[in-house]
Amino acid sequence: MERGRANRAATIQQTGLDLPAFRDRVRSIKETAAQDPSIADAFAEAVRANGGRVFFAATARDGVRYVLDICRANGAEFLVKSKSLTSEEIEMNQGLAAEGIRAIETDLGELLCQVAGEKPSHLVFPAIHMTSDRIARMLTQAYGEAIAPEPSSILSAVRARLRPQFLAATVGVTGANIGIAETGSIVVETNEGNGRLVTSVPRVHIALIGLEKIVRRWEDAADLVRGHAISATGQRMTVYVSLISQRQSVAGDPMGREFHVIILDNGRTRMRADPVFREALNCIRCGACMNVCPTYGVTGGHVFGHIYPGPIGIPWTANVHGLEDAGFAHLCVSCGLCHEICPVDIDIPWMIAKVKEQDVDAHGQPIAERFFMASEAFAKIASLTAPFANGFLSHPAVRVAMEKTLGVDRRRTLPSFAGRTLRQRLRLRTPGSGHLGRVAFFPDLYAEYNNPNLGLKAIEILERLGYSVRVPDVQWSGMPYVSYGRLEKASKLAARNLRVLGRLVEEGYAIVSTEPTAVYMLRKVYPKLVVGDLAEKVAARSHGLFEFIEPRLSALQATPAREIDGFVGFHIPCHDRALSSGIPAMHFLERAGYRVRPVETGTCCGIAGTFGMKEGWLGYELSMAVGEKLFEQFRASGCELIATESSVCSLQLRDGLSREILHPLDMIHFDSSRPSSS
Amino acid sequence: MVALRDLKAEPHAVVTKPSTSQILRFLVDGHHAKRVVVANVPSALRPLVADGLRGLSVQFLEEVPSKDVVKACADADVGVTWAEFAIADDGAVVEVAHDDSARLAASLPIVHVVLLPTERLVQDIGEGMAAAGQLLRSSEPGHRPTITFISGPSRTGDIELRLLYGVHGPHSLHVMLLDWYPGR
Ligand code: SF4
Ligand code: SF4
Repeated sequence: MERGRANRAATIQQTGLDLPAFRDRVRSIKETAAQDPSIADAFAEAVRANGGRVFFAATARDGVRYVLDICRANGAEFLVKSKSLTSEEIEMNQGLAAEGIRAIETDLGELLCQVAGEKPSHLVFPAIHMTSDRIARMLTQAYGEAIAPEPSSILSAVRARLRPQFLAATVGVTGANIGIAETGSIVVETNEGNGRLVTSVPRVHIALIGLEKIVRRWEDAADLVRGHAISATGQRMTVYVSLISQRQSVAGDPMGREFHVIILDNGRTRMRADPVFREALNCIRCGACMNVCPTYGVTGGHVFGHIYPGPIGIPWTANVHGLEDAGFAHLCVSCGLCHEICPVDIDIPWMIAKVKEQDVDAHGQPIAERFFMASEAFAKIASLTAPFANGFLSHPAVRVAMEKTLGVDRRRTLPSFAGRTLRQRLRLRTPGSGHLGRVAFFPDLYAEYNNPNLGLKAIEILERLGYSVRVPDVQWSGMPYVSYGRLEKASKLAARNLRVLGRLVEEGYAIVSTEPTAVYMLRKVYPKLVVGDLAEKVAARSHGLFEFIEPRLSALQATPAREIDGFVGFHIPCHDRALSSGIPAMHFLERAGYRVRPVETGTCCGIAGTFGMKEGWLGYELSMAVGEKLFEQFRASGCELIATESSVCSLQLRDGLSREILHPLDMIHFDSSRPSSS
Repeated sequence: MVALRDLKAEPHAVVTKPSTSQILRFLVDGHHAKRVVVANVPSALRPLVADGLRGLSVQFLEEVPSKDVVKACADADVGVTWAEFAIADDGAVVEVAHDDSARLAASLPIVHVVLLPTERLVQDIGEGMAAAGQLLRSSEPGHRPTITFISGPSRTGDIELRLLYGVHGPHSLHVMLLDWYPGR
C-alpha cells in the first residue's frame, strides 16, 4: 500500500505537472462523458462503422447474457479475460459458470484471487493481501506441481500454465479503460501483457465498458491515460496502452475475426440523474482513495468493499448492487482524506454520508452513535455537574455500565469537563476595542465545555493582536451527525449556526476556531448541508486560529513555556489536511522558539472524531489498529514533546502513547512586559 | 536512452546500416535464441534482418499462412518488430499495427526486439498522444490501425507489491535505435 503512495509523489514531481489544472481538465472531461448520453450513441455508431458490433446492456444480467450468446454462437466452452472490474460488477464469471462456460482470469492478481476463491481486495493490486509463500502453496496445490515460494518461479509457473489456454481460446474478454466516440476506439491498459494476448490471439474479442467511461475525443482520452497512470501505481504510463478500434487481419487474412462492445448501464443512468451520486461517475478508478483511507488500510477490501472496494466503492456499491451490499459504509470514519487525494476531486465523504443516511433510515442506528450525536446535550449536563460528573465518568464501574448501555468503549479516555464553561467565564470580561477588526470565536464543544482555558488563551491572543472578540450564540459544529448519516439533523444544526454566523459576517466579523473539525465543517461541509450564498459567505470567512493569525505572528511576543533540548513532534489532524495541513500551527511554535517536525503516516490517527470511542471492533479496536503505525512513528521519532490542534486526536495519541499531548497554545507564554503590538 | 533504462527496456544505438545485422545477431545470441519471428518490418530492412539471423530458424510472418501465425509466434524465442515512433521523455515505443501478426510477434515470445528509427522520436507524451490521435483520425472507418504504447517489458506488482517482469508478455525488451535510417 505504501508503494502506491510513495511512487505517486515522486512521479508527479518528475512530470512537473500542474496538478490542479490537470485535475480540472480530467474532471471536465469525465463530467461531460458521464452526463451527456449522446456521446455513447456516437461511440456506438463509430464502432459499427469500423465493422464491430455494439450491445447496450441495461442490466448486469443483460450483459452476461450477451457474452453467453456470443460464446455459444462460436462454440466456445471457455474464454480468457484480462482484468475488468466491470465484468466483476455484473458477476460475469459466475453467470457463465452457471451455464457451463468457464471464464479464465489471466491477470496475475485476479488469477490468484480466483485460485484462492476470494474476491480482489484492491482496485489496482487485487492480491495485495497475499504473501509469496501463500501464493506458492496455493498454486502448488492447484497445479499439482511443486512451485518454489520465489516470485520468479511463481511467474514462470503461471506463464506456462496459462499459455495453452490463451492459444486455445476462441473468445477473449477485456474491460476498457476509456471509449473514444470520435473514432470508435477503446483504450485497454495492462501491465502484464495479458490484455495484448486476450485481444490478439482469440478469434472473438468482447470488450465490456461502463457507460461513464466514454469520452468524445482522443485528446480527452490522452488526459485520462496520463491521469490514470499517475494516480494508480505512480509509474508514468501503464506498460501497454492499446488503442483498439477494430479487429485486424492475421498475415493478410481477416479470418472471420469479430469485435463486440458491450456498453453497460446497470444503474449509471440513474446515478447520472442523482445530484449527489452523479459525482461517482467521475471516478477514473485510479485507486488513490483506497491507498489513503485509514480504515481500508487496516481492514482491506474483503471487509471494506463488496465488489467495488474502498471509499469510492461505497457509493458505487450502493448504486449498482444496492444498499444491502453497502453496509461497509459504516467503516468510513469521515476523515475526508479520500476527497483530498482524489485526482478528480470527487467528494467521496459526502456521498458516503448519503449512503449512511439511507442505510440508517432502512436499518436503524446503533446506540453509541445516537449517544455521540447527543454530545452537546451531554456536555451541558456534565459540565453543570462537574466535578461530580468527572469522578463519575472515570469510575470503572460506570464505564462498564456505559459500555453496556451506551456502547462507549471502557478503554477509551474521555475528556473531562470544566465546572465553568467558556461562555460563563467570559461574562466577566469586557471585550477590547479591536482596531484590527472583529472576530467571532467558535468554541465547539471542547473549548466550551472541556477546556475553556484553551478558548480563553485563543481569545487573549486575538485581543493582543488587536481584534475585538466575541463568542456568538452558536451550537456545536455537529460532525457526528454527518459521520453517522443523520444529514437532516446536520442540516438543521448547520442552518441554525449559519443564521447566527451569517449576520456576524455581514457585520464584518471573521470566524475563528481552535478546533480543526469545526473549521472543516464550516468551510467544507456546511456549504453542502445548506446550499446557497449564506453558507458560502460564512465558509469564505471561517479560519483556523493559527491560519488566521499567521500574517501577524511577528507582533506576538511569545516564548516557549517548556524548556526542551529536542524537538516537538507535530500531528496533523485529517480535517486540517483539507485546510492548512498544520503548517500555520507549526510556524507558530517555531516562531516561539521550538524546533518542530511533523510526524505522519499520511493518514488518520485512527480516532476519527467519536468513532474510536465506540465499543468493540467497529470503534475502539479498529481505531487503535489504524493508529498503531502512527504511534510507532512517534515512538521512533525521539520527539520530546507531542503537539496537535485537534482535541480528539490528542485523546487518541494519549491513549496510544501514554504520553502528555499538548495543544500549541499550551506551549507558549507571552512576554507580559510588552503586552501587545498596539 | 535514460528513459528507456528507467523502464527496464534495453536501448542499443545502431549508428551504421551494416551494424544493424551485427547488433541484432548479438542480442539474439545473448538470449541463446533459436527461433525468431519477424513482423511489420519495412521491406527495405528485411534483408538486413535476415542477414543478422542467418543460420537460425527465422520466419517473416507476412510469408506464413495465416492459420500458422499464432503457433509460429508461440514457438519463437524472439520476436522482431517495428516501432512507428517513440517518446523520448518517457521511453515508450509506439507500435502501429494494421495486421495482428505484428502484435502477436511482439507479445508471445519471451524476448522482444523492436526496431525504431531514431529520427522518429517525439519529445513528450503529449506529442506522442497527439501523433497517435492523428494516425487514428486520418484512417478510414474499418481501416483503423491498432496502436499500442509499450513502456518497457511486461510487468506485474501483484506479488507483495514487488515489481517483476515477464508475466505474460516478454520479459526482455530491446530497442534498437536506428540512427542511420532511412539514410541516403
Ligand atoms: S472519509 Fe476517510 S475513512 Fe471515510 S472513506 Fe474517505 S478516507 Fe476512508
Ligand atoms: S474516487 Fe478518485 S481517488 Fe478514488 S479511485 Fe476514483 S478517481 Fe481515484
